[in-house]
Amino acid sequence: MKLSPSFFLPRLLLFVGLLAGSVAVYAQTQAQEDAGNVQIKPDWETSPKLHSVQPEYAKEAAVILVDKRIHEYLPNAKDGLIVKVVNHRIIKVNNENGVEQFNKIFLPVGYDGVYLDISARVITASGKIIELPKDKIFDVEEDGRVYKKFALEGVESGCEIEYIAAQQKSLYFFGLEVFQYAAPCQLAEFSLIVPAHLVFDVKGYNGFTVGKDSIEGSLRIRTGVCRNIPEAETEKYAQPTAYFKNVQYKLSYNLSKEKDERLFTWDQLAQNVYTSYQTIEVGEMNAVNAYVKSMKIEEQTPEEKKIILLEDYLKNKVSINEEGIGEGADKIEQIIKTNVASHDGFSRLMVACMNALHINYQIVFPSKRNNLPLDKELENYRLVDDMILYFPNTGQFLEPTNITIRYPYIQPNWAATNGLFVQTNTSAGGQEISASFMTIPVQPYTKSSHDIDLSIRFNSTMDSVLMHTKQIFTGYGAWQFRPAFHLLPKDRVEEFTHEVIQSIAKSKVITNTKVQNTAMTDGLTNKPLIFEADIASADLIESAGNKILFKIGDVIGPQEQMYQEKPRQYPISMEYPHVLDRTIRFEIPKGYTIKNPQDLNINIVESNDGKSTMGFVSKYTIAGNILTVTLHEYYHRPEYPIEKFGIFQKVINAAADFNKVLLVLEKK
Amino acid sequence: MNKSIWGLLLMLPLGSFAQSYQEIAAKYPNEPAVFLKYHSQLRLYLQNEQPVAERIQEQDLMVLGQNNAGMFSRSAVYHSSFNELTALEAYTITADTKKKVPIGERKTIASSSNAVFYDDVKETSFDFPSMATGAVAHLKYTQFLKEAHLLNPFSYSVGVPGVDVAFSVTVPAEIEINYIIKNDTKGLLQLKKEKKKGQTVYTWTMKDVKNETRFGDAPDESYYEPHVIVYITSYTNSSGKHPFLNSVADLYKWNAAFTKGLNEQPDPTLKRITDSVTNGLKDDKAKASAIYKWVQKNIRYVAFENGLEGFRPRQAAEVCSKRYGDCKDMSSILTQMLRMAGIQANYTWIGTRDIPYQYSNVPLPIVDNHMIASAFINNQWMFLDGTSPNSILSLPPSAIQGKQALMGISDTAFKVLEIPIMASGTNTVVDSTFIRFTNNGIAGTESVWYNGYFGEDIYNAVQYLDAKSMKDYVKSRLTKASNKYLLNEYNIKQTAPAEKTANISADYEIPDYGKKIGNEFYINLNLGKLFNDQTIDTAKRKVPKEFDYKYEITANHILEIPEGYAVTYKPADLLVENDFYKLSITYKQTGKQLIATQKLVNKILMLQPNQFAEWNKPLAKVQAHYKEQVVLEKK
Repeated sequence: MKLSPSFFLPRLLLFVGLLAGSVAVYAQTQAQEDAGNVQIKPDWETSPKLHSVQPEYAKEAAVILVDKRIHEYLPNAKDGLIVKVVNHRIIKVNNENGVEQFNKIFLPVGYDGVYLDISARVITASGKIIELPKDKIFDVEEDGRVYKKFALEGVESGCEIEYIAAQQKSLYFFGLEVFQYAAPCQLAEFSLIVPAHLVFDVKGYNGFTVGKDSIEGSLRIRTGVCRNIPEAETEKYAQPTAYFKNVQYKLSYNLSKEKDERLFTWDQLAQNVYTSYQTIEVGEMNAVNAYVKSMKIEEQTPEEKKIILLEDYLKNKVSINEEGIGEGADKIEQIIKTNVASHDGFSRLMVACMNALHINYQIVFPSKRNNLPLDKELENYRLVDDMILYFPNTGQFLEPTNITIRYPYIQPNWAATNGLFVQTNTSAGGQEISASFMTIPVQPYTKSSHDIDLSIRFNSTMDSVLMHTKQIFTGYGAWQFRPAFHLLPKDRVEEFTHEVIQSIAKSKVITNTKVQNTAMTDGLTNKPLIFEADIASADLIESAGNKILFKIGDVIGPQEQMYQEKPRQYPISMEYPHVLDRTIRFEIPKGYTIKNPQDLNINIVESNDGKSTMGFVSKYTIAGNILTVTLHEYYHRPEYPIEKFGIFQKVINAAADFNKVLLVLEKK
Repeated sequence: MNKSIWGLLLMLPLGSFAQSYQEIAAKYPNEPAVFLKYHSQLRLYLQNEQPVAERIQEQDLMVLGQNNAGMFSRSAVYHSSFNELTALEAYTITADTKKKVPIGERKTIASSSNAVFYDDVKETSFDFPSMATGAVAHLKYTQFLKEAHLLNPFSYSVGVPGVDVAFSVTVPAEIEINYIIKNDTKGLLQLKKEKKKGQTVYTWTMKDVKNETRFGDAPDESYYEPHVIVYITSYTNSSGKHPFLNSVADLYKWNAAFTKGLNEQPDPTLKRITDSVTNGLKDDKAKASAIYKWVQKNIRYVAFENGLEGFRPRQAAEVCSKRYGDCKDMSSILTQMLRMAGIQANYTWIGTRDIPYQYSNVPLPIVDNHMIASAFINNQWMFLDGTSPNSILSLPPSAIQGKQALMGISDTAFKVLEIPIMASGTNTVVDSTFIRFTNNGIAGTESVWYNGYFGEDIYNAVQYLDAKSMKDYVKSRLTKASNKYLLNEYNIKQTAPAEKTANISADYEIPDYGKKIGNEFYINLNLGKLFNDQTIDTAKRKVPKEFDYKYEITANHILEIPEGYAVTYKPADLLVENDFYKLSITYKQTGKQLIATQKLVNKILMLQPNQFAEWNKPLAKVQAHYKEQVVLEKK
């Protein structure tokens, strides 16, 4: 007899200490059971009836009632196996906004994918069924991605949109389905149906529950389910993608062959990658050698210098696009001739050049913070995409295909995370290639600063502020600006420089502009990028009768604010750790006093066992006629847990509050 | 850099490089690249007794910038069934050896656009090899233009500077053309007209073309960049001489062919809907309004532009059953329903304000890009645009104000009408904000009335935003004084849906605004500075400034004078006015209240560069005024 939950639960209450854990176990079991009860065939009713929406979603523009995805591995005479992917969705449209969102449907066509069939219909609010004519389905390509698209007929408030799309893909043993969109979903189901001799690891993430394997005849079936998935929301300082509900799978064992041999391991991937990058034809090798020779990088040059010269040479010379047009963009010899490369081709070229220059490197696949992370336990090759290079001798990284960044910086979302390192161990027995998961550290907060140094006085008529300004950026702070100097035409550079400078002064009256250390390679020694200028600003002064009001808070530029936030969903992601040190020196006009200097004192810091990892502190001193304000704002970590949101919000708002400080100057 | 922008740049024809890289780089020190040559040749001829055209584009782009050659590598040519790509040749002339290196593979895909759901535009893309500073990307391609009514103007705005930009038209004896030159205010265009083998060749050349800097609030560049419009006025074939596009009548004849046979079959479903929508309504205006509202609510905008289908409205019955359509389809269903309700109504073509031409001076298909319906109500023509979800009869969409409309009456009869420009007083905002001092700032209530186009915006928001986004929207509407504006309880009322009048009221707080020191309060009572920072940089800007509509905004800031305090300083009143705007700020004390009233009237839709100085003149005074705060002191 199966115990009903109501019988089971009170008995557990006796074990108070175990309660929390036990309920969790129970919930898990129920979810598991639920996950195992998924109907694996799509249910396309011949006479569909309208569904009711759960009350909590009644006010949403639209609700996905059912989102069912079935991956089926089917025998195919020619290729052995093919993969059929079926998606069945029913969407309830609640209002006109929902109509606007869902009357046009875009279905992505997978790599090597071919749609076998797409059926779509609208069940109007009055129950009438309007089928989509098949000739109204179009092909479109956008940013390199191919879609099928169609506009549904008869869509109105209260209707349901239903479609079922079956796609055939060539055999690939990895899968990923993400179930979180712009509308909430009441029921999401996933099924994987494979020949019984193939054993897949299947895992649900972030609350998507996957049941156990079951064998039905010659088939092995794995299903999963998730209910009430909220709509995907955006938040300031957040990376939501990693938290999306999703299912991933990969083939692990083939029982018809070596049944104990785990297939598609990370080590195997490392070996494949290594082989692929190191296999180079003689012709290519000669071309690379000649190419490297033309760069005039001496053999005795220190390794780090070689890395920098090579990277700068290639990134300045070659035109890189994610996808090439034609195969030439993937081939080293051809790239050397044409200077046109795909991402893949460019990475290969860079690796080949490193080999020719005897640079010691490792290929690393970052677990990106702005994407779904790599899982050490589930080797989903589908998430292995862009590579970076690690240099064991310097401990630093390089991002090959990004022309806006230079060694030792990589885009910050690919750091402060794990990476899959392709490692080579040479021993007496030969070379062994393996994969290890290790941390890709982010450049420490001390490296990235956004500093400001200001000397301010009033003009003689007391209606304008004269400022000598210096904005000083290092590390990632400088990275956001340097590519502009490198890539923009000269007149745009000037305009860009003015934009940066006037951001702290609310004025376009800028003279004596000087910008230092703009070269991309200045990042290596972390030379500060400095914007220096004189600014005259009338907007920073207001008057109240005979008093002068100086809007000193504006001189640090507009600060991000989080005064009125919705309940926080995701942990905090800062992109990169950094520090902001600002010094403001203000010459108090002769004969005047500041009535409210204490408004300049703000002190909001996180305290964590005596260690503070974020804060905003501003204080002032007055010596003679000089008011000096120092502001120290810092975020030592790239990420903070959601529990820290309260203090994080206060720190962010402290900087925004400083913007509101207004000094009242009065004649003595 | 957006690759499609660079793709679009690469669309023209011709020659040899007399000037070296050094000379060019010295001449254009700030530019990433220039077109040494950018030529477009249009060849008109008769095919199967009908006029058609071929366009040969040839261009040489020289890279000047350092480090950014890669940006010019990928290029694309766009084409469709109207301008079929028949030949394409492209190669790079390398910077160092001056060798010609041809492009490799090319790829053609269906191009996508945000505005149009489906069209037949295709994009052929390819990479120029060996692009480096000093290299030249050569591109030459030919397009067959099967529909000679749709010849595009040639614009001398080619994205990067052009050393030699030319447009030529070769006209055989059996074809007659006309041409219009636009925006060549400096007289830079040179026309050469010559006879070659019995054909007339017109060539308009411009040297050293530099485009004006673009601005977000500028009208479409066709309002200010020089361009040439060429059109066929008549042709002679074996059956004699035929007018082609010589007048509005010719244009109408071409347009009317697309509405021939439209909505001639009775449709009981649509009739039933029309009857039920207008049931019980007595006058035509009420009926037309009800039909308008039904179409706006029930027919969604989805655009298909597939060849000539892109010009042909669908049957109203079909639009009704699909529940979607584009502007032509909306025109079809609106017209049909109005007629079913016994109201005189007609299909009507129009160009939105993106297009600078009017039918009376440019009688060509390029003058319009849109269709609406016209209805004769209470002795006047009114205009219904089904693509605009909250427009009303008395308020046609702002994007067609002042434009001519071509209304079809029969197969041959038509009328050119004008859409009225809505007066400032139609589009008003009246804000009454009550302010009291709190311990750390100010708080109070705010009530704002929106009329005309402002009201329409509110109705659009209410229609399309969900509850969560609505608060953000209200906040963005009401926020003033500081980004610390905290929105508390709020209420949106659609007070008069028929007139699109709305009211938003709210409780707010603004911590840290206003200042209390000792016995004094200071506050700037211009919480929202309606006309701050409006000075136009005449050195940089040489292009017009466009406004969506004329309007009037009144902001009353009503300060509650705290008990025991008196106003010891208030700024003097301000009034500035010219042909473009009027701004007044007044301060009035009545009992316990100090009321600051700001009133801004915008009187124009377009401001021309030669008016900028006049526009700027009063602004220093305005800026100075905005800096003045009110002082209250303890008695």
